Amino acid sequence: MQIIVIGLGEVGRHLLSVFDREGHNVIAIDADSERVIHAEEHYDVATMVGYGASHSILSAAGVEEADMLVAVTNADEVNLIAALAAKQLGAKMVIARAQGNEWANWTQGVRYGLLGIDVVINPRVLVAHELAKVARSHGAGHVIGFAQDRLELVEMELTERSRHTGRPLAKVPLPRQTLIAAVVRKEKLFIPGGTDVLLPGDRIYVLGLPQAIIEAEDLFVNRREAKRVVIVGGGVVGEALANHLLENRATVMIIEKDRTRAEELSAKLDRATVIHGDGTDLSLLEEEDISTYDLFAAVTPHDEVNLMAALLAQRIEVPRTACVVQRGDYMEIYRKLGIDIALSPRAVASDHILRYARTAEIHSLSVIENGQAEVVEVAAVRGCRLIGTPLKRLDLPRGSLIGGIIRGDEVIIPRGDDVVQFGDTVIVLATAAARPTIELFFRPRGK
Amino acid sequence: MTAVAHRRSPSSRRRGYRGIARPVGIVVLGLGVAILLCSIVGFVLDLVHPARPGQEGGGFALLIASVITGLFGLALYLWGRDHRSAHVSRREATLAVAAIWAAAGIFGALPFVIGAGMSPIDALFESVSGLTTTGATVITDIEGSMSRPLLLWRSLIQWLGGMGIVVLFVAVFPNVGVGGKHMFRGEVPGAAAEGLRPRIAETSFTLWKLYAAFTAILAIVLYALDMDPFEAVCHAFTTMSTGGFSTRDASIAAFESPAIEYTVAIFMFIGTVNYGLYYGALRTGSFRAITNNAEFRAFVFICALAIVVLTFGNMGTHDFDVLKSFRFAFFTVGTTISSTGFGVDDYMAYPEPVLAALIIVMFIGGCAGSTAGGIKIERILLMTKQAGAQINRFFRPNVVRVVRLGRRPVPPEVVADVAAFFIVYMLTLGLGIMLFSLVEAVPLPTAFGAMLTCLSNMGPAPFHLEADNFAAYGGFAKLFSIFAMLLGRLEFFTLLSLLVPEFWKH
Repeated sequence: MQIIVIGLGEVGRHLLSVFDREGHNVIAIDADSERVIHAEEHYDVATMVGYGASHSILSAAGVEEADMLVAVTNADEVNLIAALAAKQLGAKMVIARAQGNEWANWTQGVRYGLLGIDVVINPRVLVAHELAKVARSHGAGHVIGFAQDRLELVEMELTERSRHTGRPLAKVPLPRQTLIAAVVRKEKLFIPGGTDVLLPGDRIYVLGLPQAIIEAEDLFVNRREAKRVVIVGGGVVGEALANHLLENRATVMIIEKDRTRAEELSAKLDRATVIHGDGTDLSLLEEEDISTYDLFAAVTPHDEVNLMAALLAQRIEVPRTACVVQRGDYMEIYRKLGIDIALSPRAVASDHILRYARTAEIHSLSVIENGQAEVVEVAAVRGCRLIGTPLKRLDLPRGSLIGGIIRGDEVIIPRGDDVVQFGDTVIVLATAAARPTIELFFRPRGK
Repeated sequence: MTAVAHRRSPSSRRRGYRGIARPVGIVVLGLGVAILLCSIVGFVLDLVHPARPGQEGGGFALLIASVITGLFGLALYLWGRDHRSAHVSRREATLAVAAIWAAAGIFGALPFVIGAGMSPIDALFESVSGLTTTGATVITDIEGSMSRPLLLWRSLIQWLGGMGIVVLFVAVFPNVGVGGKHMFRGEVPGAAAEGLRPRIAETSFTLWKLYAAFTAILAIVLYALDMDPFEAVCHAFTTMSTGGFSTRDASIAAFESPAIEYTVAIFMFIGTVNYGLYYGALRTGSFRAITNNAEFRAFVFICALAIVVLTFGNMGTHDFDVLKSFRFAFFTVGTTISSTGFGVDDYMAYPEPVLAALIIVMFIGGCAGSTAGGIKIERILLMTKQAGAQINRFFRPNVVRVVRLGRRPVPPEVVADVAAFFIVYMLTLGLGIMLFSLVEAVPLPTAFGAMLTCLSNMGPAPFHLEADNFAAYGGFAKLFSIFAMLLGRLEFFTLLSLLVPEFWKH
């Protein structure tokens, strides 16, 4: 694909690294030459210095032949104008990132066709949406939905207290309609077999139907759905998260530092409790009896505040803590400090955008564990090798797994005897090494 | 799921040295195949086309050379096969480019040693002179001492080196990622040739396609102009690469055909222009992409000026015949600005001021992103403009002057880079002249001419002694010239960074 990326901040760079790896033709544009030089040094892409929304820059980048344009600068207006201009100049698909919520009412993190732009994503709202999903789970650290959320991939971390560690997977009484898709041990991801043994400290990815996943979570981590949630920070993320949680009839308390904003929230969300105060104030947290809540979510725009508040909540023994992280590279540290859930709006945004960079057969693509593995949704096209042979006889490469088959309204978590049919959509998890080989299975024979 | 930046594995440094064995092995293996092709062509030619005296056979010698080269390449490839690093750093790429050129020079010399019984140093000189498209030679009797497959090989290495062996490698093995980009830069410095296509492998492939297309057209035209088909191919190789090796002792003059001279001259001019411009013209379907380019305009201006100077300055040596004088001027300017080095005319017989003009053209060289050598017109333009701005600032300290190339402002770092290049070029030249005159006891102008011709990958050496070749010089001077040719071809920084102690420290 011919892809133009405007704005080389964290999201832009992450997109470049994945697009480059995937073999797309990318032109990267930023007004800051330092950022352009960085991109030039690290990725096999063409670069341009300039204002991404300008007509001349877009034409010089060959926008009329572009299959996709992604505008992810820090200024919403630039993103919107660039996307609109690109659409008019003939780009096939345009995607813009928006961060403010003043000019559109965001109930969903993604809007299709807003102002004539194919996809507008608001990462803050998306992050709130993800957090809400995690809150509903019984202890997952991350939830990714496939096939319109009919199939979920959840990540959870095993501890000393987790049951079923130390015995072969074949002996673990997993609920039907779920499977352990991947295990991450010492930062290395692998796809387990029946004889592999789970250890405390592992992180596992479980794929399955949403209801069955909850049972699987109970098997390993056994936490409750978060019915009582504290939110520190009443910004875009906080408000969207509160909305999601209130829809699910949870009890929500928001701690907001700014008096006017607190009043505004109180007017908007009448079932939530709004506290005017500082989320990093230990006495305030104790006073409000934080320990009686199930989940503590620190979602201010400031990483230090979020981390400090979450660590305090951990000390007061709130069962689960969540943080919004602006700097993606700090993710590991949060996990080491015992924060259960760390989500970065930028990572969420780039993961979401990547889903649109796909060939005809691939419906979506999610990258997990820094690109160690990918989960793709592919259509089984006529004549491809997947069709007609039972999975166990397919001779799939090591490091790959068919995790789900979607046939009309039905979702199948396949066993070895299942057969893919023409017209199915297949969910495949593949490690980076297995990716080129597995792709051969999707293509029509002889191509 | 997380946007964590690329992490390097701790072992990537140790892998560095063995990791470059794979690309080097592949290139050597490719050279082996190329030698084999020359050998096969030799066998076929012997069957169908009678050879000129002294040029028979030679196929077996190249066959042996090809087997040795191929085995070495294969061994290197197998040794480094499992040591591919996911992320090739600038340092590793620089090392790989240097190693590829060293290996290509050595294995390119093998056919000369086996086929013509040349001494290793002479063979290495011939091979490097070919690969760097210099065209200087140590062979005194080309027509009598070289077999046809060897002549073809001599032309072919020039052709391979013209657009660049690393560029070819990146084009043919596209899965080298950003490391390919670093390697490409090691061989083709400056941003001019980049950006044709977003991915470096496609850029390289496009460049090679254009290059091969021009070469094919030229070979056909030369054949149509009654050149022997074998010689037409050889000269097409050495013209498009702006290298200048010929199958004849008297070079292009041996054909005694103004039509051939004009054709070769035109294609030398074509080879001196940034190949990115041709791609732009093809893509937009308009010559504007070429004619609007600031560097191209400067190139045309310099050529026109030089042709006028030569035409009228040399009237005396050409019997006061304007047409004849123009013909020689056209060819000589073409061969000089493109750093090809074909000869039709004895430029040492020119009046001194005209010779000085020609030497200036030799310094300048062709456009960035072309196969020509020299300092490059783009750099000259930038430095001239920067100098103008500095002079302005001298008496008007508050004036703001941004250096531009065409409409595009040039960042100060690029200007600094060009200034560094210029200093390095001049220092190397000065040091080279000193060393050369130290070991060879030749007059200073002769040493100057020899070093300049090596650094600018030109070929003929101004102020040469009896014969215009390097055969008479000793081993040390030849080795030194080999290094100078490589420096000039890779535009200094790649090789010089290997000489910096920090490069090897971690």
